[in-house]
Amino acid sequence: MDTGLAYFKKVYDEVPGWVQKMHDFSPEVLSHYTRIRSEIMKDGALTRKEKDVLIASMNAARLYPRSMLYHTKGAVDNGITIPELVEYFLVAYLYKGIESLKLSIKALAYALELKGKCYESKTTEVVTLDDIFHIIIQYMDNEDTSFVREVFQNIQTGDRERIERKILEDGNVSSRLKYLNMVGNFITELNGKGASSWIKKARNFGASEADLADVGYICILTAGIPAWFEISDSL
Amino acid sequence: MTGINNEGHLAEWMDKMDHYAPEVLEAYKRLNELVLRNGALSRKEKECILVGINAARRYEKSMLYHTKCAIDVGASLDELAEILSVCILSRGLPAWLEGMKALAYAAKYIDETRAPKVLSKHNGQKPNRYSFESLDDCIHYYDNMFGTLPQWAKVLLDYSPDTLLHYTNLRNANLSDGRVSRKLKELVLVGINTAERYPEGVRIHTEGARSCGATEMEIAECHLTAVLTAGIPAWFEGAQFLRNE
Repeated sequence: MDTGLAYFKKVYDEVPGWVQKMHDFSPEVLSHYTRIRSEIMKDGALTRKEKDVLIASMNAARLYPRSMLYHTKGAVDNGITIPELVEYFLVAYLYKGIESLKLSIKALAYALELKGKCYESKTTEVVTLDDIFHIIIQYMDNEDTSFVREVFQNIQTGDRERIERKILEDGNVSSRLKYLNMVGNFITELNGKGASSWIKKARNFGASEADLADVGYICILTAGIPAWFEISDSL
Repeated sequence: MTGINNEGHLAEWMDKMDHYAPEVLEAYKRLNELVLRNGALSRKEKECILVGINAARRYEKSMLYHTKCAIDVGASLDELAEILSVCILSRGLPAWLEGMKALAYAAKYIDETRAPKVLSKHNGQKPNRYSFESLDDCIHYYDNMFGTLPQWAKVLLDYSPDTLLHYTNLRNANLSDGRVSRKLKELVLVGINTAERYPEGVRIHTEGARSCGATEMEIAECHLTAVLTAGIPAWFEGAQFLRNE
C-alpha cells in the first residue's frame, strides 16, 4: 500500500474517502501532505493527544464538525478522557458560545462510542444551555462532574469575567493548555490581533514559545499557512 | 508563499518556522511547490485562484502576496481586475472593497518591475453588453447552464423577481469570457467556497466549471490550491464533489 494511504489507514483505521480521492488525483500531493501532517502531529512541545484535542476544540469553536470529529478520534486513540474532552469543549464555548457547545455534544457522543459506551444521540432536542449541560453530565456517567457543574453555575450568573476565570482554571486540563486552546481558536480564524492578548495570558500560565509554535503548526493543518503568519508575528 | 523579503532575506515567518521546526518548513515548501507547479492548471491560474480566495475572505496579507506572484508569472492588471470582480458574486461588495487594494498594489508593482502592462479602462466591455431584459431570458440562461432553473433562483423568482433579473445580469456579465476565461472564473468561485467550507457554493460552481469544460483534474487542482491557504478542510469540502475520471 502507498505510504500516504497506509499512514491514514493507521490514523483512522480505514482509508477515508478524502484520502483515497487525493491519492487518485495526485498521489504526490498526498505523499507530501502526509509528510507535513506527520511532522506536525508527532510529539513535540505538545503531545500528540494535546494536538489532536486542540484541533478538535478549535473546530468546535469555528463550528466545523468534520474536523472536530476526525480529531476527536485522534484524541481518543491517544488516551483522552471524557472529563478532559469536556473541559476543552468548554473553552470552545467560551470563544463561540452555545452553538459550539451544542456541536461538541456530537464529538462527546462519538468519543463515548469509540470507548465502547453508546448513548442515544439527543442533539436535535438540545435547545438551551440547561439541556446541553444535562447531556454532558449524563455522558460523564460515573466521572467527577463537579467542575462542569461549577461552570454551569457560573454561567447562570451571567458574569463574563467569572465564567472565563472558571472555565480556564486548572481542572482535568491545565490552564496552560486552555489558554493555548483560546490562542488556537483565534489563529484558526486568522485573527492574530485577537490572539495576541491570549498569547500573553498563555505565557503567564506557563506556555513556552515552543508550545505556541506547536499551536501555530497544528493551525496550518486545519486553516492553511496564513494561520502561521498570524501567530508567528507574536513569537 | 511569502518567501523572500525585499532585502533578499527569508521572510520573518519562514525564519521563525525554520527556528522552531525546520522539518515542517521543509515539508511545507515541498508541498507548496508541488501544488503550485504547472499541471492541469497553470501556475498563473493557481495564483489567480489564491488572489480570489483571499480577496473574498478579506485576508489582505495573502491576497497581496499572491497578486505579486500572479504578476510575476504573467498576470496583467486587467486579468486581476476580472478575477477580483468575480468575487463580488460570492461574497458581495466587501470582496471588491478588499480587491481594490490588490489592484492598487498590482498597478504599483507593475510600474516598479516594468512587467508587461495591459490596461484598458472598462476592460474593453461596453456597459449592458450582457443585459437580459426579461425574467424569461433569465430562466433560459439558467436552463442553459444547469439544465433546469435551480431552486435558489426559483425562490428568488417567486419572492423578488426584480432581484433575480438584476442579479442574473450581474452574474452573466461577471462570468462571461473576457481577459479571463469563464472556466477560470468558475474555478475561482469553487476555490472561494472550498476555502470557506461552504458546500452549496462548491456544488454550484463545480457544476458551472464543468459546464464550461473544466476537467475533474482541473477542479481537483483548484481544491489543492485552496488547501495551501485554508488547510485540509478545503479538500474535504471540495473532494466530495469530484468524480473519478
